[in-house]
Order: sequence, then structure tokens, then C-alpha cells
Amino acid sequence: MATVTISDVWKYYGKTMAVKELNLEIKNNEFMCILGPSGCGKSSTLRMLAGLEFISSGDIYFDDVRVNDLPPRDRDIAMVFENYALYPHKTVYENMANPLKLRRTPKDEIERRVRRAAEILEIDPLLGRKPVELSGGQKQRTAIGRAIVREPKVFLFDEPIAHLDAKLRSHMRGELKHLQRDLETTTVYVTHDQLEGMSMADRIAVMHEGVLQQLGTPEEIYNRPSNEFVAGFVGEPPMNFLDCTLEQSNVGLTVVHSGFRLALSDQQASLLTAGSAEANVRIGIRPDNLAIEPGADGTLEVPGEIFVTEPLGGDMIVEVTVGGDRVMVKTKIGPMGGPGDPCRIGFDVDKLHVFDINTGVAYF
Amino acid sequence: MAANIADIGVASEAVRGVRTIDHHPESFNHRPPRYYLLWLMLPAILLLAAISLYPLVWLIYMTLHEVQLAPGKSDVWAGIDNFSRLASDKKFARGWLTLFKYSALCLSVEIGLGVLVAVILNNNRFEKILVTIFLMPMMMAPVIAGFLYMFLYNGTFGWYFWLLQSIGLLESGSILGNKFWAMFAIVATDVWQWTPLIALITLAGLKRVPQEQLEAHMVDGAGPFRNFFSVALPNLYPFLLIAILLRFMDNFRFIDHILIMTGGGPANATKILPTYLFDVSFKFFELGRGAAIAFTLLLLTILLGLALTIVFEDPTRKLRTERED
Amino acid sequence: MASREIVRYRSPLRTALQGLSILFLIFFFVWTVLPLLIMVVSSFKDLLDAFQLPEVGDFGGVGVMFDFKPTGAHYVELFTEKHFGVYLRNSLIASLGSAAVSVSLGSMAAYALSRAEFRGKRDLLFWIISTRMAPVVAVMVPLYVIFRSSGLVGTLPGLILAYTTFNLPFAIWILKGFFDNVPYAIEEAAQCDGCTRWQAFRLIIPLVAPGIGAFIVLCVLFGWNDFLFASIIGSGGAKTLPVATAELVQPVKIQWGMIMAAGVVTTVPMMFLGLLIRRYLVAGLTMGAVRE
Repeated sequence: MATVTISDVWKYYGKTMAVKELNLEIKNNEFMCILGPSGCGKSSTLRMLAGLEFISSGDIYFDDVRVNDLPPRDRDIAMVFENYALYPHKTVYENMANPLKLRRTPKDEIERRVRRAAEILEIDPLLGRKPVELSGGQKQRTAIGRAIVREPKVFLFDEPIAHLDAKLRSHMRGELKHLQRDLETTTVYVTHDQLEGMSMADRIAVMHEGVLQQLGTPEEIYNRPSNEFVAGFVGEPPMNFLDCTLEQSNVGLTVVHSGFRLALSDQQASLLTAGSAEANVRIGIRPDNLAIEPGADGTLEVPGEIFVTEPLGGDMIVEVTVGGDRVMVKTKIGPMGGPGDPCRIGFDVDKLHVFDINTGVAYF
Repeated sequence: MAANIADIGVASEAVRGVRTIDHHPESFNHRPPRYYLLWLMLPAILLLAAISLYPLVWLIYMTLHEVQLAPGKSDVWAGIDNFSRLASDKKFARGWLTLFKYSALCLSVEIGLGVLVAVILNNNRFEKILVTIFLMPMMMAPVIAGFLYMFLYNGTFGWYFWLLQSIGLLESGSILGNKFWAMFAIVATDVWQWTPLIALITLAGLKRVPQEQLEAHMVDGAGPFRNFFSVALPNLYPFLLIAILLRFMDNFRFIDHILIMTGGGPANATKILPTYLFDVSFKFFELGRGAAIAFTLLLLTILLGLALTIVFEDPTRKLRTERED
Repeated sequence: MASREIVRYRSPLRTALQGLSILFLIFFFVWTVLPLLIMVVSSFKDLLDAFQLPEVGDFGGVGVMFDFKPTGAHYVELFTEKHFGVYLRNSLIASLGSAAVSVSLGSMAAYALSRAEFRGKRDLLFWIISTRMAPVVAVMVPLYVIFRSSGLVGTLPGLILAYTTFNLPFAIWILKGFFDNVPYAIEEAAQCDGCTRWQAFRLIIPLVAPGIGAFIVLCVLFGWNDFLFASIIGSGGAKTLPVATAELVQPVKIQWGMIMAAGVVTTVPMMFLGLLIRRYLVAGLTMGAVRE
């Protein structure tokens, strides 16, 4: 139940910079996901929020209170750690009761709250066990239980489900989101898995090399990435990038590649001119926004050659060689031919992204 | 969850009906090369048996005889005389008592100081260099340490004697000749040599305390003291247990400094059981009686060894694997 | 990750504690180093200087400790009149010999014990560790009688064998732990590549070589520092440094200068060896139970 404001925060470890000039406001009851590859500064940010790491420069506010110099116990936060960090010598019950005990909560109140949290997480039969007797998923639930027995101002999650197997992970994504909506607590969730961010968060902050790249809703991040990094990091399979040149002709602006030419819409053209784009650009298109048909003589405009096909059950991914470059196309599964066979692909030009080839900044 | 998946696996196998092998192949592949490993093991095992099992048999033989060292005389069967005499041997009983008193003193001081040193040194700027310096006394032969402390305690030119006098703890007389002080003087020597080992063990333990547990505890609302006592210390227990067991065993393995400094005196104040055993066997050469005493000491060793193997197999192993995850 | 420091927030209590802990550290430092310092300093003092002490209660007078003319006379006397050269050699032969026997036989056995699974393995290991833990005096009682009847008392081979009673089980036990940490998969991979089992074993030797080297040093250390075995079983023909030092104590007068010099001679090499194998020291002294 708090607004978290990160204001101009820098973090250095010795001479190494981990976080650069970060400004971020997390709204009350919002589920904010900080997304980025390892070493991008997301964990440092979270640990600074928790008070487990000093802030090199800048301020962090919970509501209007500056918390820079408050130790973790005075910040009224709850955190779930990547490796769960359960106390091995304590039972599940004792683990969950610990934060309450340290705050001198009456015994019956502890009992009531731990039982309730255990019920929510469906671990009530396990309360008497020690962490070594638990499976990964159960450990993780216990760790979450330890966080939710209190009603903290802020939940902090540090890759809480990274170590679970894929099936359990997808299950926990749903549960965590549900839990957060239920408890209505401001949440900061750090992950390197874009799928977790996309599926759970209200807003996502994408970080790379200590710098905030883009802040927005999952829909914005996916459909309007602000630069090449965000575009490439979010989405699975990843976006295709192709180096092209721009050509002005009487019909309008055209993107030229050794394998194809694409005419841009007027709106797209005006965005490029407004951004005074150079002749060389990098275009990006998601595999979903490409169409494909087998054989050399179809209706789609661009000829290509199949490199490999990867069936995924209902869908398939086809890697196609187009004018010396390779692109991935996602399509419904069907007869496609083998490596070396000809095919044709089509671009959904509306879904095209164009980036500056040097800076990576998106024109659209 | 994992269990569920396993259950499903078993169930579906049952449904599909797993075939069991109903015939045995005529010949299996080569036996696993156990003989190769046996041959590697054998020389060491044989040698060890020759120098430990064979003497053990001898020891038992000796406990049952009046052993004669002079050539030509044969040992006299004594039955359980050697043991029954121990029952009425006041020095024997006192030796045990003194041993436990000595060990209790050594261990409590060493553990207390050692843990304190480790906690202070951990993540200290000078940790590396200080640890290296603190290691030095451990490398010294206990007998040399005995001499060194004897020198320091000397009533006419010993620096520690002077120090104790100067701060008013000691009037005059001698440290090692005093029934009260002698024990502490010997304990101090052991503490000087071996506290660093406890500190090192504790330090190794502290490095293994999972950082995330400490952090989780801080988030839960603990201050630094709470953090140490309820997270770090439980993680340290196996290490401290090992330290205690090892030091306790060493307390009666090494009596060199006691032999040098007091020889068990004054008035048997420092005559711990191994020292008494040394006197009986190698001063009075009553080897039969000595063997009986040695036998009781060995029994204690075996008990402690048992405790040690249990400790070895349990918590440390778990600790290691948990860190590897 | 593990090396990351826990954040410490300032508080008056913490500052006070920090002060106290620095004081304690200084005290412990002095307590540890002072005896060593006095030993070294005294070994260079002649009789008169060694007996200089300040007046009782005169703490300003501690400078007396360093107020002397250094003399190497004690060292010279040790190696000429007292024949410490011979004892040094005896110490070296006995400890090195036992270390060589123990580690060479021990490493083979340790490898086998690490790789083999058989009934009674636990009991075998238990026997090994309790052999190592047995009190030296107790072991010596029967050993003395046996060695006496086979003429081994007072000889270097006898002493080597005596040291092997604690060094061999030590080597087996600790090297087994060492081999346990080398994944068997490496040998399996080597066998897949076409090695024989023996070649595969040889292949992993470089992985354990530093450890084996360190444990040779530790075995030397244990033998070198022994006094009990040396005084009883080595007495006479195989006198080692600790025993020779103890013999400097004569009923009429204890030659402190020389004893301190002998202490330096005995201790300094071991301290260097200790520094050399610093990484393995804790593992070695705790029977491998604790690793740094």
C-alpha cells in the first residue's frame, strides 16, 4: 500500500557501474516488473529498494518517506529471494512465522495469519516439515508465505520462480498474479524471463547495462518497443532484424533489401522524415507478422528458401533464407517442405519496426 | 509436485503393463573391476593393520598379563587384575577428572575466543593478513610451546610472570609450582596454540552461511544481533561440533607441553589421564597396568570417533550439497 | 554473490561495538605474537640480557626487552657442541620418510576407497579414522613392547613406522575426501576416449596433485612436531629436534638461551611450510571436515 519513487538513483560497486540515473515511479498497488538480462542492474535496484544495498547516489521514497538510511526491518517490505532463502533449521510454520515473531505479534495472531497464508498457498499440510523435505515448488510457496503473512507496504520478488521447472513456472505465474490482485499490494518483480513480465505485470521497466530502456505496459513494450534492445529482448521467438536501405521514389518511401522491396505507408514515411533517418536503417519484424506459403509460385510477394523447420505442436517456426539473410516465420503447422525447398513469404508492413542502425533507437 | 509427476509415471507404466525380463542372459558382461581397486587398497590396509591392529591385539594381551621387560623372563598371567586394580586406583579416577576439567577449560575458552575472533575478522579489511599471523602458533611443536610458556612463567625472568605481578594478580612464588595456577597456565598454553584453529573453522563456517538467509532475516525484521544468533549460529553448529570433537581428542592426544611444563604436578594438579598413563608405562614401566589404562582411553577414543563419523556423514555433507545447488 | 557484504547501517551501538572489537583484535594480536617475539628475541640474548626484567608494575620499562647486544652464540653452540645438525637430519628423515610412505600408499588406497562400493566400507573407514584419533600414549604402550622385541627402538625406521601410525590413516582419510570431489565422470569420459582404467586414474592425478603435495607437507609437519614417539621410541639412536631440545634441560641449570634458539630452529621451517600450504591447512587439521 505505497507509492515507490526511485529518483535519480545510481549504483556503483567500486568502479563498476550497476545502475545509471534511474527514475521510476511505482504506483500504489501496481505490479511492476523490472525486466532485463543478467547484469543489467535489475537485482541491484531491487536490493536497494529492500535496503540490502546502499544507494550510491539518489533517493528512494516510500510514499513521502525517504528510506535511503532505513535498514530493511524499518522499511516494511517483504521479499522473496531467488533461492528462497528459507531457514533450514526451522519448520515451514516457523519460517513463515518468523517475520511476525520478530515484530512481537501475539501468538494467536501469528497462528491465525500463518494458517491463512498457508491455506491461500495450499501448503497447510506441510507446516510441520523442514525445508530439506520440500520440493522446489513447495519451498517457493513457503518463501512466498513468509512474505504475505505480514501486510507489508511493498512486495519485492527477486526471480522467485527462476529455479522451478517449466511446467510449474507457468502455473506459478498465474498464481502469483492472482495473489497480487487479491492482496492489493504494491509489487516489484525482477526477472530475466520476458514471458513472466509480459504475463503478470501492470507495467514493465526494461533495463539494459544499468540503464532504463523503456517503461510501459506489456502491450506497449511488445508493440511499440522504443529501441532495438527492447524489441529483441521481448517476444518469443525473437524479432527478426534486417539491414536495409531507404529509397525515395515517386510512389513514396521504400525499404530495399537484397531479397525484397517494401513500400511504406505515408504515416510511416512521415515518421522517418521527421526523425531525419539516414539511408541505412535496420528493420525489425516479429515472426508472427510474417506469412509463409510453400512452393515457388504462390501469391506472397517475397521468394525465399527454407533453411529449417521446427514444429512446435500446433505451430511451427520456419527459418527462411531471404536474400542472404535468415528470418524466422511463425505459422500454423502444415506441409512446408524440407531444407532447400523454395517458399514465399509476406510482410505485414503495418507491423514493421524501423531502427536507427547506429543508435538502435526506434523511429516506429 | 515432483512427487505427483512421479506418481503419474508409475501409474501409466502400470496401465501400459511394463514387461519384466523373464530370462537371464547366459553370461553377463565383465564384473566391475573391484579387484583392481582391491589391489590398490591392499598395501595401505595391510601396513595399517600391522601397525594398529596387531598392536591392539598385543595391548589386549598385555592388559591380561604382568608384562616383564627384562630379557628371559616371561609374562605372568594376571587375569583381570590390571583392571580391578584400576577400580581402587585413586590416581586413575583423578586422572579422568582432571582430564575432563582440563578439556572443559580449554574448550570453553577456545570456543569463546575463537568464535569472537572469527566474527570480528569476517569481512574485515585485514582478514587475510591477520589470519595468516594467527596461524603461526599452530605450526609450533607443542613441546616447544611448552618450553616457551615455561620461560614466560619463570619466577625470576619470565615476562608473563612479571605481567601478572604488575597487574596485581600474583603476589610472588611460582606459577607452575602453584596448585591453583598450574592448571590455568597449561590451559593458557593450549589456548594460545589452538584458539586460531577454532577461529579458522568458525570463519570457514561463517563464509558458508547463505547470504540470502541473512538478508531474508533482515527483511523479516531482524537486527544484526538477532541475525547472528538466529541465522548464522544455527548454520555454524556443525562446524563448532567438529571443532569441539577434534579439540577434545587432541586434548588427550597431545600431552607434550604438560610433560614438559609440570610433568603432571604440582601434587598431581595437572596430571590428566594420558600423563598418568605415561608415568605408569614409561617411568615405572608397569606395562600391564599401563595397557589397562591405555585400553580405557582407547574406548573413549572409539566413542568419540563414532560421534565424529556421524557428524562427518550428516550435517556437513548436507551443508556442502546445499551450497552446491 | 557470496562475497557480497551485508549492508551495515550506522547506529551508536554499532560504533561502540566496532571500537570494542578493534580493542579485542589488538589484544588478541599481541597475545598471539608476543610469545613468538620473546622467543626470537631471547634466542639472540646472552645470559645476562635474558634475565633483564623491568621492576614490578613499571610498565614504562618494557623497553628492556629490546635493550641488548644480539649474539648468535646460542645458535653456534647448538650446531657445534650440541650436534643439532644430526638431530635436524634425523627429524627430516623421520618425518619425510613417514610422509612419503603414508602419502604414496595412502593415495592409492584413498582412490580405491573413493571409487569402490562394498560391504563393510563404513567400518573400514571408521577403523581408519579411529586409528588416527587414538591417543599417542595409548598406542605407544603396545608399540613399544613390539618394537623393543624387534629391535626397532632407537632407530630411524622404527620412528618412521611409528609416525606412520598416525600419518597413514590421516593420508587415506583426507585424500579419500579429495578424490571424492573429483567427479567420476571425468574418468568415464577418459575411458570413452579410449583410456584404460589405469590411464584414466593417471589422468586425474594432475587434478589432485596440489592437494597431495599439501598433505605430504602436513604429514611432515605432524612427524616433525611429535615429541612422545620420538622421546620413547626414537630415544638414543634417532633423536629428533624436539627431544634434543628437551634434553637441554639439565638438573642444575636450564639453558634458556639455547632452548629458545632450538625453538626457533624447530619452529621457523614449519611456519614457512604452513604458509606454503595455507589453503589446505584447515582441511588438513580438521580431517577434511571443514573446507575454506
